[in-house]
Order: sequence, then structure tokens, then C-alpha cells
Amino acid sequence: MQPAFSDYVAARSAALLRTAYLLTGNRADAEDLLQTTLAKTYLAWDRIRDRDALDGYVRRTMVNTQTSFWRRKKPESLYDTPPDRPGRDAQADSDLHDALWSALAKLGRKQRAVLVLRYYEDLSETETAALLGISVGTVKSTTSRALAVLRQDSSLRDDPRTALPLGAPR
Amino acid sequence: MSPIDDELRTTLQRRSTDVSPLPDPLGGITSRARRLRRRRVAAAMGSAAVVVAAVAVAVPLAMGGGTGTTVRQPAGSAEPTPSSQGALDPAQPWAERGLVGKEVVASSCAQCRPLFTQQFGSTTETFAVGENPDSALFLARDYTTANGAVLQQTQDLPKDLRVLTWALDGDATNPGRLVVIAAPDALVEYAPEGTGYQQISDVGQAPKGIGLVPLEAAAPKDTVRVTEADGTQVVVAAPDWKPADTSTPVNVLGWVHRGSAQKLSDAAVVAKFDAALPGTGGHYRSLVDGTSNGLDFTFGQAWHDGDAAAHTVAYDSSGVLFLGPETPRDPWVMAAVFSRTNATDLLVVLPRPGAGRIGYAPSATAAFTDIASGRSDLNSVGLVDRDPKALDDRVQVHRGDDSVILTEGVAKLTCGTKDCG
Repeated sequence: MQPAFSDYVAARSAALLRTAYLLTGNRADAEDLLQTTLAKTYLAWDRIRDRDALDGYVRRTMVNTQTSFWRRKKPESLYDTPPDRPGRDAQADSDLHDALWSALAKLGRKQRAVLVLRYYEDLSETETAALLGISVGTVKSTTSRALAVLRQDSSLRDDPRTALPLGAPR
Repeated sequence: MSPIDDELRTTLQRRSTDVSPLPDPLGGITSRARRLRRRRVAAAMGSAAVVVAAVAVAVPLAMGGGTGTTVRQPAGSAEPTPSSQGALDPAQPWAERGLVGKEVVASSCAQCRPLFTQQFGSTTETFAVGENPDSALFLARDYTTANGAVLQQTQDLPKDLRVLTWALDGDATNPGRLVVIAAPDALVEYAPEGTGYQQISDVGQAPKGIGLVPLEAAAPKDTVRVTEADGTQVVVAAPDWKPADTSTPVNVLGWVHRGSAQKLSDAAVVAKFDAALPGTGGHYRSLVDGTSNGLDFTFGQAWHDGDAAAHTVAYDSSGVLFLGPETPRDPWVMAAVFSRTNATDLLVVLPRPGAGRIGYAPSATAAFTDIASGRSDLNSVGLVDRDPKALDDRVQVHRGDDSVILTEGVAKLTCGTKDCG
């Protein structure tokens, strides 16, 4: 194995595993997704001339690979159950985030990928569009619809922390 | 920022911190890569498009009474044949030839046994054979590149092989070449037109049982003849080959460039294109360039050497490339959206040269208004301050006589590689 590839994996695998976990919802599938993504990257390593763009290439490979995973499996079966979280003071927050995590599991694959890239990876709409191979308009509409689905989820519908700002259209 | 934005961001961050790193992130990558590669090779071998590497399987027929009778068998269509002395046995493969001891079989292919190693230009390449855990024979071609990297290509092989042939592309200074590997005691001959064989093993650079032929033009009738030490003769069709096609894909538009002088370099666009769609020999051809509200943009087509089709791409001075699908053949109109500000995006509408006026409607029910830019530097290019939330806005293109050629949704015109279908 080439040293440059090994160095890249050593430096980036932990962060990539976190992204894989958010895309898949459970540890086992996240590890499988990461390994497949890195294997594909290894095969393409010598064709990737712009090493500064590696992360983008790897993220795109991961999302595309996950797309095929989602097509084979039901999202409901993928998710880790929310872990117990200590501390009664944080209970309300914990409940909200567990509810959001569960609601995320009900989104479509593209909706979830867009949210992970926008809200976890902090990519712009344009960067997300370029990475996913979709238009900027599709990123915007997908984000908007995904957030609407989350707000309408039965466990989040009445929570004021997930409400739209005053005056915003519903 | 609405409350759910903040809560979602926090949820994702918290969840991600629960994930502990893998103890051995490199473990299993090479074996998984090998499986992926074999699947790809298996898929590729089922495609008529594969011409780079071909394995010929021949039915040997002992020469009877010295008459020299042979059976010709096209590549890949032979029935299994009984093994004999000249057949390739992965447990006891033919002796290694060429640059013995300088093979570049990767560490990931420890079970590979080298057959032939040669220097080709700046590359050292090794052809090796091995057996998978499921006892399937496979062939690996490893080679170093100019930057010292090692690539590997493998393909599954049928049993009872007597001759292996490849037609390989050349490089900048060397032509393509036919590589033939047979038993070390075999005579290898080549006939460009199927008759008039010339010996190609054990001559020049070619060791015993190895045939090397420069390829400079397609030769659809060429054949390879191998005569083994016991007189067994094998004739196979040489694998198809044609010079690497570096010409322009057929869907590259011959439209005149419009707009202002190109400020964003081809190299910058190609670098992003390579990152989005890995390949070698990237090209970019701009169709329109301009500046709007301080944003420099370029919109055109990009492709790699050998690609059958070019992609529509858009790039702006923020450094982000939009990779669109393969451009349709000679479309009436092309369009791209650039994210300019939070308030409005920039929609660039580029009609086929010679088209008449173009119109834009911000919704499915709104009336069309002409958008052909009044700016002389943009020459019939439409620029629209587009509502980022617009979902069903449309573009209309007219002929010179003002009849409508095309009415199309912006979403369809600006779709990417994944959301067109």
C-alpha cells in the first residue's frame, strides 16, 4: 500500500467514520461504508491528481455508495437506538435530540445526505450541489423539504425549539 | 437561522462525537479493493467496449502427419480444453522472463507469480498470474508510474490457458504494443493480415516465449500463432486495438464563444473537473464568460481524453465547480445557476447561436419576459436575477421568425449528474 494513501487514511479515517455514521445511522454500516469508500479511493488513488480535492472526492464516493446502500435496506432498520444519557438537567435537550435523530431516520437518502453535508460538514449550497451532482436549486428545495418533514414529525411537531421563526411561511 | 437549524446542527455534532475511531482503519482495505476490482473487471469484460486488455483462449490441436493443420479460435469463446504440457498452471507457472528480479508486483498481491517484467518508457510493468481463494485463475498487471505509484489491474481467466495476449495503449513517446505470453519453449509469431507469419519471440527485446509487436494502426485481421515444443500449434485472433482516441467528443459544441474574455483559467476548471470526475487529459472549452455583481463566471463543457461525451460544467470565482450531465447533442439552449448572494442567484441562459429572443417566466403560470441581455459583450446571453426558492420557473427560446422552438423548466435545464432522471 502506498505511504501517501496510508497517511491519508490515518489522518482522515476518524472524521470520515463520523460522517459515515451520520449518513447510515449505525456503527456497523458506518464501518462498512467507510471501508468500501476507502477501497474505492485506493483504486482511484493515482487518477486523483489534485490531492487538495481528496476530501471532496472521498465524500462524494461515500455519499454515492451510501445511496446504493439505502436502496437495498429500509432506513428504519438501520438506526442505533438513542443511548442513555446521564444528568436530569440535560434530559429535555436529550429528548429533543433523540427525537430529531429518530426523525432523521425517516428521511429519504438524498434529503439526509443534503442535511449532513449542509449542517454537519458545513458545506455551502453550491458546494453541496457540486458534491452530490445536483443543481443548487435542488439542494435548496431538498433542504427546505427535509426540514419541513422534520418539523412535521410527530415527536417534534409541538416542540417550540423546532418551530419556524415568526412570520415564516409554513 | 431558524431554531431547527441550530438543533439539527447540535444533534449531528453530538451524535458524531459518540463515534470512536476504528482501531485499524487500513485493515481490510486492500482485500476489499481487490474484490471491487475483480467485480469491475468482470463487469467490464461483459461489455463490448473493452478493448484495452483481452485474453485469448485457444484450442490446441496436435499437428497431424506434419501437415501443419491448426484450429483458429476467436478470443474468449473457446470450450474448456484438456491440459497439456504447454498450458499455464498457476501452481507451477511458466518461468519468469524479462527483467527477472525487478518485478513490481504489489505487496497486496503476494500470491501473484510474475511471468514477464519489462521496461516500457518510464514504466516498469509486470504481468503475473495467481489463484484466488476460490481457486479461480487470475492475471495481474502491475506497473510503476512516473510518480512511483503502483497500479494493479486484474482479470479472471479460464483454465487451460496456452497463450495470453494484450493490446496496450502507448504513451507520449511510445506507440501501443501487443504483448503475447506463452510457454518459454514456444515460438510466437504474428501476422498483421492473418497470413504471412513473422517470428516475434526470442528476437530483439523479446525473450523466449514472449512476443512484442508495436501497434500503430488498427489491424482487425491480425492473428498470433504459438508453436509449442511438442508441435502443438495454437492460433488466436489478436485482441482488438485502435489508437487512443484523444479527439474531441462528438457532443462538444462548435458554438462561438460569447460574453467577455475568459478570466478564470482552463486549468482551474480542469482541476476541479478532475476532482469531481477522475480521469486523465482533462479539457475545458468555455461557451460564455462574464461578470455579474463582482462574481466572475464561466460556463462550458469539460471532458477527458478518450471520453465519448463531454459534460456541461459551470465554474465561478468562488472556486466551486458545478458538474452537470453529459451535454445533449446540439441543444437549443443551455443554462446554469450561480449562487451569488443570499438574495438572488444568477441564472445564465445560453441559446444556440442563431436563435431568436429568449424569455423567462419566474413560475409555471407567470408570463414570459424577454431576457436577452442588452449588454453587447454578452451577445444574446440571458442573465436573470433568480429567486433561489424558484421551483417551476421556465425558459422559452424563439426562432428568428419569432415562433417558439422550446419551452423548458429551469430545473431541467440546470440539472446535475444525478437529478436529471
